[in-house]
Amino acid sequence: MYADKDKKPVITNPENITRALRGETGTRIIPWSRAMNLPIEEEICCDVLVIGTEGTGARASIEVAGRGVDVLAVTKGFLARSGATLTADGEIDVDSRSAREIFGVEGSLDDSPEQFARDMIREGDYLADQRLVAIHTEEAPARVKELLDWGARLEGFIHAPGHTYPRGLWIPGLKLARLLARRLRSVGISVLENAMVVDLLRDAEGVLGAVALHIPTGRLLLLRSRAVVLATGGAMRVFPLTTAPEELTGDGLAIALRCGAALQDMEFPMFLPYTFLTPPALRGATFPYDVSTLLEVHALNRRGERYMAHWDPHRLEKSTRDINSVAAAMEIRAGRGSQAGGTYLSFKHLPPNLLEFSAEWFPGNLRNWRGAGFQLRDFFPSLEEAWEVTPACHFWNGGLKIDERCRTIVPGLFAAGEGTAGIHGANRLAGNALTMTQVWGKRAGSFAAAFAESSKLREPDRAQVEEVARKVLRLRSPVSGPSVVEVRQEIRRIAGEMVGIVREEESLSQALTAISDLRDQLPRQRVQSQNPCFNREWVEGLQNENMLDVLEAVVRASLARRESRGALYRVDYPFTDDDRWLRNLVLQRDDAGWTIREEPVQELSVSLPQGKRAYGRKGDEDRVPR
Amino acid sequence: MVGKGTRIVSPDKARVITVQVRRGSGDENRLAVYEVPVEPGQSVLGVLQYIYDHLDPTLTFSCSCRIGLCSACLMRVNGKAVRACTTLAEGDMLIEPYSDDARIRDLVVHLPRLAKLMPDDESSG
Repeated sequence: MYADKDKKPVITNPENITRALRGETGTRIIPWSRAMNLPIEEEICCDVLVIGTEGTGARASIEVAGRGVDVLAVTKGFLARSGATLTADGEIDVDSRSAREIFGVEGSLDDSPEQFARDMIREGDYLADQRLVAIHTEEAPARVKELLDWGARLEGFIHAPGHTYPRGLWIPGLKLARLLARRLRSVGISVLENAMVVDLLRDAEGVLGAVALHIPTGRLLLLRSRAVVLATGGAMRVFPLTTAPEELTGDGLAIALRCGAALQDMEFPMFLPYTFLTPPALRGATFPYDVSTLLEVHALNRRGERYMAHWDPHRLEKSTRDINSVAAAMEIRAGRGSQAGGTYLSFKHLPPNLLEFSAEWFPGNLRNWRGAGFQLRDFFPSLEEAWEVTPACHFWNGGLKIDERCRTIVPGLFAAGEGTAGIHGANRLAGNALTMTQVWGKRAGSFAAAFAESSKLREPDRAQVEEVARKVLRLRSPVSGPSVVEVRQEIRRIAGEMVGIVREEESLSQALTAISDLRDQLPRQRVQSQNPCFNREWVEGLQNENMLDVLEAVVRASLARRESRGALYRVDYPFTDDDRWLRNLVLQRDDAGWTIREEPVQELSVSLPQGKRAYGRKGDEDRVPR
Repeated sequence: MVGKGTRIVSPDKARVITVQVRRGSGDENRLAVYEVPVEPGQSVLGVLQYIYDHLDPTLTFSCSCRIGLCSACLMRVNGKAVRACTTLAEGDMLIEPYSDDARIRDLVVHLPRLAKLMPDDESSG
């Protein structure tokens, strides 16, 4: 395609772009930005710009390219060496019947995409957009089948809490990420690594590109496109304790918010209840949670009580992750936490001569007490002592408001995967994040490609480009404010101490004030290094603005929702109120400030509950506990 | 609430180690020396993060998953190729880039995509 041939760049091969950016080749584009004398050092045009290159972004890019549309995929990190996909440990959900019929595992024929959808809606505490959920469960088997066709191998099949039937096909995230990266390369997709998008550019017709910082050279890039797909993941790094990789600072959510897009369900960041608190090298590692799903474990407070009995007497530690996390946070808050400020996880109920066989207990990459890249027995030679664990922020249930076609409310701006709202409602089922990457990555790619084919490259507004560039240039000038490290630490202090897992009005209001104070300091963030090559401080300075925007959305949404549901527990409103609060909160921000509106939940097949209920009771307690 | 109870390093538990980092880009090489307090069970990546946060923000390195999967923090510690996140900081050490040829700056290297870089790198190909 490419109707405007004159605007097609000379180079689209990513290696050439990278070499050109490093000044290793003489090839240069003399672009619009140069002609306009803007502080832009390179300009790259494409039909569809995909931001993010891992599970969702890779799948979206493959789809765009498969339709013969030119795609540029950019990532803040290194391809297949960054992002959340590779850390997934490693289920991808499909309904149990399809798992049996298509993939030959021991699935139940009683299951169906419709039953899977009902589980998602119930465990999402009825806030999911039921139209999106139906698409999700319907399309999941075909997406996993594609992965197998591309070379993925199933390593197991598990039944995780919250699912009525076993649905977790086991494909380790690292293998998935590398498989998709190989696929990206084999179909010839241009990938630009280490490029952080600073802001999107738009006009009255919609989005038309972005300004990015090329981290290895410190240069500013103008990326022009007919459509943009955001596949940037969540914002878990806002919280001080998190399982998420470095890059997950909510960049996509923040740049889209600043471009006019709407955020939804931002009060529901998801926490994983059992991650290591000590030792420091393991902090945030998810192994204790993995063990808790595979084995009977006892979650204990400092008095040795199995406190989950108060919250979910049938399922106990096998309850869903939202309830486990809230329960742990409430124990800590009540002064019944562990030595280091967490809770305990114990296997002491198992006799020592049984513990001898423990190396055989876990599947795949967890066998022999390996947790990710760690050999845990080096740290915990005895299983007779309880581990000190803590809830850590693990996933972003809410995010950009999208419709069935992955459209945000900004024309030309599409979004998919983690950091979009509506699929998981107030809480995500285990194993459903990888499914989300493939189902929704593919859809976003397909709809963005179609949009690009019927739209044109447009010239950015000069003042807008200059304003975005100024953000970066400001980091290069001497100022006397707090350092970028201090700002990041303050954001995480606010998130940890004033927002947290369990929330209440007083501390949330304090958080708003603290955020406002910190926002005043943002333009004066101090950096020490002016080396343009891989300057961590510049990247952090830009991330800080994104994290602050996202955190403010979390606080505003959490304040507005005066009940407890899914991943949000309000200490001052500890009931789930289905009469009042079966509503999605939608946030936008413009020059006049924030607006929040309530929208009714989109129903399709599951009728919504009524009345008031205790937090954690999801309205069908007759269901057989696992 | 998360955060309120997180561990503060108590002075009696932390000991101070000497960390030398070979820094620079291109042909430039210089040794920067830092004194870093470490508590038991701290990783090399934790040490680098401490240096960046508290001593010298001009130091650059890359990392992502922090749990030994992504290999973004491959580097050499006392000559041996390791992932910084899963390697314990057990005493004084010399930290160098994984490869001089691929070095971008300080400890950041442009790793060949999808290549097998470590013996336990099962899923590369």
